[in-house]
Amino acid sequence: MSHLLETKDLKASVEDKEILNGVNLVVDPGEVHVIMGPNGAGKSTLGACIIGDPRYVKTGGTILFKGEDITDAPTDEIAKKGLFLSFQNPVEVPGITLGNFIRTAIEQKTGERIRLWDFRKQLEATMELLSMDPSYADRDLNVGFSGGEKKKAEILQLLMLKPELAILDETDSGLDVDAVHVVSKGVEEYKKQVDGALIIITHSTRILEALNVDRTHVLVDGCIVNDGDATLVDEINDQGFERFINCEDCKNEDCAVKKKT
Amino acid sequence: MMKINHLPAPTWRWLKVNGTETGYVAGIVPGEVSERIPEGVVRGEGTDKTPNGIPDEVRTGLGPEFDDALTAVPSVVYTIKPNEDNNRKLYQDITYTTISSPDDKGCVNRFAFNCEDGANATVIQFMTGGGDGPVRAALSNKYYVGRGARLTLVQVQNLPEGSETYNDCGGTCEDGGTFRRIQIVLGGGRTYMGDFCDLRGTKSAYDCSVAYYLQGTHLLDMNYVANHQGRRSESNINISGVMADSSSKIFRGTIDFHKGCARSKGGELEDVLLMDDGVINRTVPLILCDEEDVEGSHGASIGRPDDNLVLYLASRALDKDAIYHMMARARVDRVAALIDDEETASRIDGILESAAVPKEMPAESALSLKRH
Repeated sequence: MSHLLETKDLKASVEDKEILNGVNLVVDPGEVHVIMGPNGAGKSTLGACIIGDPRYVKTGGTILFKGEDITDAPTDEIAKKGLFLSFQNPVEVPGITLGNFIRTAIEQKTGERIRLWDFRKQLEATMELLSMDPSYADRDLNVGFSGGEKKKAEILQLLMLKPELAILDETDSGLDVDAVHVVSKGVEEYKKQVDGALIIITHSTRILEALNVDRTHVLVDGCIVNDGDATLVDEINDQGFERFINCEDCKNEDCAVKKKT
Repeated sequence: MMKINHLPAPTWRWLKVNGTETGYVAGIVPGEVSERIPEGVVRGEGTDKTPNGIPDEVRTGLGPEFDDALTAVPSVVYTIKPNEDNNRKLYQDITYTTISSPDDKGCVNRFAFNCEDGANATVIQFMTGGGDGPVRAALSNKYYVGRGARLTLVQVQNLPEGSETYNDCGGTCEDGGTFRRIQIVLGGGRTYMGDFCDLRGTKSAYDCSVAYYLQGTHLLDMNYVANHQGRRSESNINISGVMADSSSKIFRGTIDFHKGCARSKGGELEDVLLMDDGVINRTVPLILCDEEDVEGSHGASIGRPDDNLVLYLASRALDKDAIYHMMARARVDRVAALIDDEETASRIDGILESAAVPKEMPAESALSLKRH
């Protein structure tokens, strides 16, 4: 049986600068994976490459989703297959309301019309769960939203679009305690409703508290230098990334960085 | 050849933007009009260029050659009397017959609106085709807005692919008179349109908002003039649209401040989103100034959708077509929101909804769902 997501020796660059140096990652249905690493390690690039951001050039390796090669697939097709990326900095889209945007996205994903009444009911219930003012549905997407509201809007889309795999790129960064709590609740709800898989890119552990983490990966210099279970998150919290940055202490013998040095 | 859409003051000839030449020959058959006339609006008819109540020598956006060519068709004149209802609406559905051959001259309609002192009304015109085939449509609207009167002309142009449309307009505003124009261009083929608003009254005002979306080989040729003569007169011309494929557009926007129009203000703003490399977008903003104490401004936002924006929308399963429809719709919605009429708004919504049916879905099922 094929994995839900598998990256094999994925290498990527932007403006001739190599950022990913051979990432191998396997995610199975329903699993929760955490990717941690120091700033500039390539965590966001990994998310962007999986979703097909054309600004990153894939210089090697493959990405398989449900056994299908999506390495060179366009972003909209990847999303239609069931992948979702929650953006670190969601863009503002003037003129398009949050409600209309989500409705169009669902229709595009499923290829079916959704009745306005059914949609509004579902949207309002989901917004309530995320403690979002229902008037946000009629506001321009992310325009004038606070940082917290933007992240909630991302989670709202996650819950409405119900992808099989969601990549959350620092969804908890810059949020106050209450907002992190609401976002965590939304992610937990996604697990309950959809039982989808998650790749959580994060610097903190607050968003992970309500989740059962299956695997933790440490990314340094575009390469996964260590894997472990949920306890690795606590270890990093206590000791930082220092020991992973120092190649001599790294346990990963296949690491491209180590091979280079 | 007929010369239309000429700039009030020509610029370099080699830019080829001073005006447009067309082989149009006017027909003599009017398009079918179905209308609802509110109380206090009187319908009459005139056969010459100076219909009842409309002053002589009304200038129009498309210009005198086009205006002269239409005189064979009588002008229908509506006199709007002042009354207590400030929310009166005159609905007109104009249906143009499908042309049978390229030589078919098509249909012509001429209307004139005489909005008497203190009167207030909105005219809502829908231009549609009688079938799926192309039409050749000519429409002229002239207006006279009396002292303290307010006339709004809403036009929704939804003509079949391959159509050729001439949509002309022009008139005068007296002291404190306001003419508002809200225009939405959906589909079509080759469209020539314009307006010449003569702001001769003190504190008269012209407010024009246009939204369009062009695709395929659509052509849109526009000429809008705010002619400031009265003191403290004001004008705003806002044009926004989306261009895709190999469509082309030229927008001529002129704010002409004449001597004596002291303390007048005029602004024009254009917002164009270019979706493809093949589009041809030309803009000619013109501010003519013969008076010192005035304020004129031009702003333009012309560009492609930001890469981050496209990625964000694509990451939610929206393909290029869906992004295009969504961006176009946002622009149309913004202008449609200015229309203070639920019936018209929902009609526009219906047109846009049917234009955005997902490709995988048969049109029939989309319609059946929409009826719920």
